[in-house]
Amino acid sequence: MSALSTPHKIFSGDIRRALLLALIDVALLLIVSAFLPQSQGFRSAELKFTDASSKGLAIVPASCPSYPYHPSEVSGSGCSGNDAYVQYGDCSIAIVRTCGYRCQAGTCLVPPPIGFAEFSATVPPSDGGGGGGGSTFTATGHLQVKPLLVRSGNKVRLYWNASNVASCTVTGTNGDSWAAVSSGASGVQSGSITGQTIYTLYCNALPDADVPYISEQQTVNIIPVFQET
Amino acid sequence: MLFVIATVALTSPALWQGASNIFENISYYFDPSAQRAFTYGERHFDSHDQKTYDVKRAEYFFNLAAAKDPSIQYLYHELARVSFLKGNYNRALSQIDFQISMQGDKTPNSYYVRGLIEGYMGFYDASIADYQVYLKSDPHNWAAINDYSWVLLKADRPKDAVVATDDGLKYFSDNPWLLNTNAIALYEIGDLERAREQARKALVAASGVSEKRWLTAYPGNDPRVAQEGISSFIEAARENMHTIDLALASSTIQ
Repeated sequence: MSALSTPHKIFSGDIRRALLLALIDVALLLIVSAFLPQSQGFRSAELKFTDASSKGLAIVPASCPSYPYHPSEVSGSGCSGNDAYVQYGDCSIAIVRTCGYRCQAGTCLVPPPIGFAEFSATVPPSDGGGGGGGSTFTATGHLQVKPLLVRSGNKVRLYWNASNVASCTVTGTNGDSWAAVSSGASGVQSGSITGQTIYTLYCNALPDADVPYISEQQTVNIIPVFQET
Repeated sequence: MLFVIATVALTSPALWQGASNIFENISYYFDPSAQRAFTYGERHFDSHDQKTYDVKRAEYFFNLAAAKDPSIQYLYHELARVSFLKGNYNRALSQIDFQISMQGDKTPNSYYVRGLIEGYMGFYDASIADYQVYLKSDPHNWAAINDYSWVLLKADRPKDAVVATDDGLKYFSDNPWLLNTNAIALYEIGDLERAREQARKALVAASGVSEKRWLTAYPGNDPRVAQEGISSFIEAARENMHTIDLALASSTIQ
């Protein structure tokens, strides 16, 4: 008998039969266990827990934040009023910022630019002379002063009507000052004009606006007095 | 034959998990570190992976880790969650107390877990305090607001519960848990019309809760019971709405 035939003898006959039977057993075991019913699942204490309120309604607590790791991925965004927020996972939101103008779909909208709206303005009857007392006119909304030429000591009336602004002020080189986005239909009366007076309208835009402010000026002059020498 | 065996093994969840467990055991044998044990515990405590979820095995590995290194961050937090889910509230409370004593402000949601356990045990004032601590770190978490309102209601503070849930609903306007608790709080203070409106919204919203969403709301729970949890929630919302409807009808008649 040659050496080459020895391995054949080791794995021949009974041994091969035994190995084959073992493999079949294992295979059958695997196939059967694959069809065994799965367990019904662990029923925790909170699965159906409700707690009765004093009038018998069922309060249902949750337990989302018990999970130790805060999800870092942003799952959404939105607005609540003017608060823009991002949502992490399903349980928590973080307010990103409060929008100055308006929030939409989690983003702060850029407000419309500062504008000036026309309005029907009146000059009270008491404003006589060159002021056109007792009349109405259509104001442009930009800073307007009536009249622009006055006698020393007289007063003038100012009109303006800004929109899409956070605030406005009108100041005069004579010390006059008003803080309002609109003068109102009857305008505002100045103090006495005793020399050339420059009035400046300054408006701050709404937050996030492209142009942060706007400024306009009107100059009131004194009618010269000629004196013969 | 070997191909057949391999195919069956790979496609059978039980066998796959069994093989995976054997691999874990062997790996742990050769590297019995606390961190490895904790990692394996976390793997078996994941509600979103039905193949690996196994709360008993999770607890086994967490205990192994605790025996070697109790200072691992969140280890006792997780042990407390397991004990809580198993209904062993006393043990859960002592475990979360230990967690907070060790790591306190580094794990703010441990205060939430303690609030939850205290709520289940009826210690409402302590629960309120712990929820307040947590809400300072995460003021816009709907579940924390919901559960805080739960214990406020149980502590006979329904007006505070209305305020809290109204605030939460600004950001989670269609959240069924908040809507349900808001409805209950409104009912408790006698605002039946609003209570009915919120209860109806709660029922509609609850009916749309998916298994994934439920498992996110109740992490650590077995994925296989999610549908049962949803059904239970819908039933509670329906009963609440029915009770409020009856109360409103009764008050109208009078």
